[in-house]
Amino acid sequence: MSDDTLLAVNGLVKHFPLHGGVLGRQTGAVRAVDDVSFVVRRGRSLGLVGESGSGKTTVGRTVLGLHQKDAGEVRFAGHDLHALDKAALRRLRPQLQLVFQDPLGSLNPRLRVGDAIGEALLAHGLCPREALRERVLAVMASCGLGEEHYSRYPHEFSGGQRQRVGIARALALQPALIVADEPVSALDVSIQAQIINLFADLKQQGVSFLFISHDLAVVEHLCEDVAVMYLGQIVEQGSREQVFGQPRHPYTRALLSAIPVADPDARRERVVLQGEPPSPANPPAGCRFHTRCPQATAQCASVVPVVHRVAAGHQVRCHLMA
Amino acid sequence: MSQPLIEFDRLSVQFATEQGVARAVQDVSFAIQAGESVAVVGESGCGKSVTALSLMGLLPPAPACRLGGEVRLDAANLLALPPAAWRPLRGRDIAMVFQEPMSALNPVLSVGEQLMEPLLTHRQLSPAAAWQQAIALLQQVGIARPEAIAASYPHQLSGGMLQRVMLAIAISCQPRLLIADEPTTALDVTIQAQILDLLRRLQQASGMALLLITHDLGIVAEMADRVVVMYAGRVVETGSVRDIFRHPQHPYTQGLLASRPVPGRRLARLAAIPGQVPSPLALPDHCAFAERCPHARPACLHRQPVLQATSPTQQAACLLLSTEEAA
Repeated sequence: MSDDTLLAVNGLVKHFPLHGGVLGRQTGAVRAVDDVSFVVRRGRSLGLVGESGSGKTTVGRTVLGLHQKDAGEVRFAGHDLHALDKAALRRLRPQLQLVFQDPLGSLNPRLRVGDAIGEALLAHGLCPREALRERVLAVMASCGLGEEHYSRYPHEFSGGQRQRVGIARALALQPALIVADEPVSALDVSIQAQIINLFADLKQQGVSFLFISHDLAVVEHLCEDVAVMYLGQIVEQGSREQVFGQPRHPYTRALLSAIPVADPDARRERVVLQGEPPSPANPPAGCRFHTRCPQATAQCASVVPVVHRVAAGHQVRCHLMA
Repeated sequence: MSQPLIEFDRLSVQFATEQGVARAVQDVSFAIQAGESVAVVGESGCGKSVTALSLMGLLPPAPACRLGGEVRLDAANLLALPPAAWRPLRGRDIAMVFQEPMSALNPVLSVGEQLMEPLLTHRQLSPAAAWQQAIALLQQVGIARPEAIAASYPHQLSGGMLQRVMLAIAISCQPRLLIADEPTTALDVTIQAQILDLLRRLQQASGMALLLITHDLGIVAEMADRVVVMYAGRVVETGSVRDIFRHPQHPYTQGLLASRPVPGRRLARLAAIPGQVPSPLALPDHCAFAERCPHARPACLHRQPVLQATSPTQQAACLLLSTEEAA
C-alpha cells in the first residue's frame, strides 16, 4: 500500500436480510454491496457513480461505520475502522465526515446553525468554548455564510444555504476525508454550481472526497478517480480520463451515452439499454449486467466475470476484457 | 404563420397565501404551433409548472388563485370556461404526464382499468373494445407483456414502467398537445433515455405538439424545437433551440448554460450565478434578476424589462438589450 492512501476498502460486503412468513425467518438477502474494493488517495477525490439500487449509498454508509459490514476491510489512514474500539474510533471520527443529500433532514430544527456547526468541535474537545464562536464564524465564512446566519434556525435557510451549513459542519472538524452522498442533487442548477465550486475550493485546501452521485457530469468535473457501480459491484474504475475518455465496460459506455447533452447539434450515438436493473435481492447469475448487456454471450449468463486490469489503474469487471 | 394551437396571452397567476400574495406567473405570452415541441425551462419556483397547470384547468378556484390574461386553444379562451366545460378537453385535446407517476395513478385500480377510463368516456368504446385498445396502447409504449401489466396495480411496477403507463394513458385519445412536466426527473439516466426515446417516437407517429417542462438543459437540447426560459414568474427569453444554446441573449440564460459542467470540456470553476431566486411573495417591481446579474446597471433596479425581438426568431427581456437604454 503506498503512502498516499487515505481510505482503502477491500472486498467489502454488506447484505441486508429479508424476512418473510409468519415466523419472520430470514428468506433471503438484498446483496447491496458485494465484493467492493477501491482506494481514495490523499489530495484526490473518488467519484462513486451508479443508478438507484446500485449500492453506492450503502458503500458510503458502511465505510463510515453507519452500517456493520458483513465481510471485507475498511482502512482509514492505516487503521482498520471496523476493528477499532469505541474510544479509538471516536478519536478518528473528526477526520472522517459526512455530507448528506438533504441537509434539512440532517440538521436539528431547534438548534441555531452556529451551535450546530460548533457542536462537534466541543464534543471532541477540539476547541475551547471561548474561542468557539470565532472558529465557527471562520468556517462559515469559508462556506459563504455570513455572521448574520450564525443565530438562525435551519428552516430560515434556502436549500443551497442549508447545504452550505451541512458542509460547514463537516468542515469545522478539519477532516481529511468527506463522504458526500448526492450533495447537490436536491439543488437548482444555479445553486448547484455554487456548491460545486465550494467543493472545488475545499479540494484545493487538501480535503479528499468520496463523492457519491448519479450525476456523471458533476463527478467528471470534481473527481480525479471514478468507480462505476452496478447492482452492488464496481464494474469499472480508473482515472477520470480512463473512465470518461476510454470507457471499456458496456454498462459504463451505455451510461455515458445516456446523458442528455446540452447542445442541439451534438452527434448522439446512443446505446439505449433495454429493460430495467434487476432487483439486488435476486441478482442474475454470471455477470450481473448480462440481462441488459448489448454484447452479452452465453458465458456471461453463467460465469461470474473477474476484474481485468486493462491499463495501469484501470480495472474492468467484464468477460470481454479477457 | 397559421393559427397557433395554443396561445398564452399575458397570463398571470396569483396565489393568496397566509404570508401574502404570491405572484407565481406574470405576463407570460408564448404560442405553441401544431406538432411543435416547446420546452419551458427554469429553476424551482419560476412558474413553469403553474403555467402548464393553467392549460389543464387544474389551478385552484378563486379566491385562492387569481388568473389574468388568456390561454387560448384554437383561439377560444380556456380561462373563461366553466369547470364542467373542461372535462371533454382534458385527455382528448390536451393530455398531461407528471413527474411522479406513482402519485398520478390511482393505487386501487389496475393499470388496465385506468387505461380504459378515457377510452370509455372520451371515445365511447365498449368495455371489450376498450380493453383491446388498452393492450394495444401498452404495446405501443414498449411494454413487453401487456396483458400481465394491464392486470397489475401501480405499486407492483417500477418508476420507468409507470411512466410508460402514464404515457399510454396520455396518448390514448390522440391528444393534439401533450404536456410533460419533468417526465424523467424521478428516473435513472438509462431509463430516462428510454422514456425520451419513446416520447420522441410517439410524437413522430401522432404529430402531436409537446409542451415539455424541465430544468435539464440537456433534455431541452435533445427534445425541443423552441425554448421558453422563465425566471421569477416571467418569460426572460424565448427562441429556437439553436438561438438559445448558440446565442443566448439574456444574462440569466447565459448564466444557466454556464452553470452546468459539460462532459469532456472541463473547466476549473463553474460560472455560478451568485445569490438566489427571489421569493414569489416579494418580487421587485424592477428586473427580478438584477440583484444576481453580472451586467446590471442602475436602470435595472428601476424598470421592468419587456420582451423584445433580438432576431426574427428570438426575444429577450433585458434592459441592456434595448437601444434607448444603451445610449
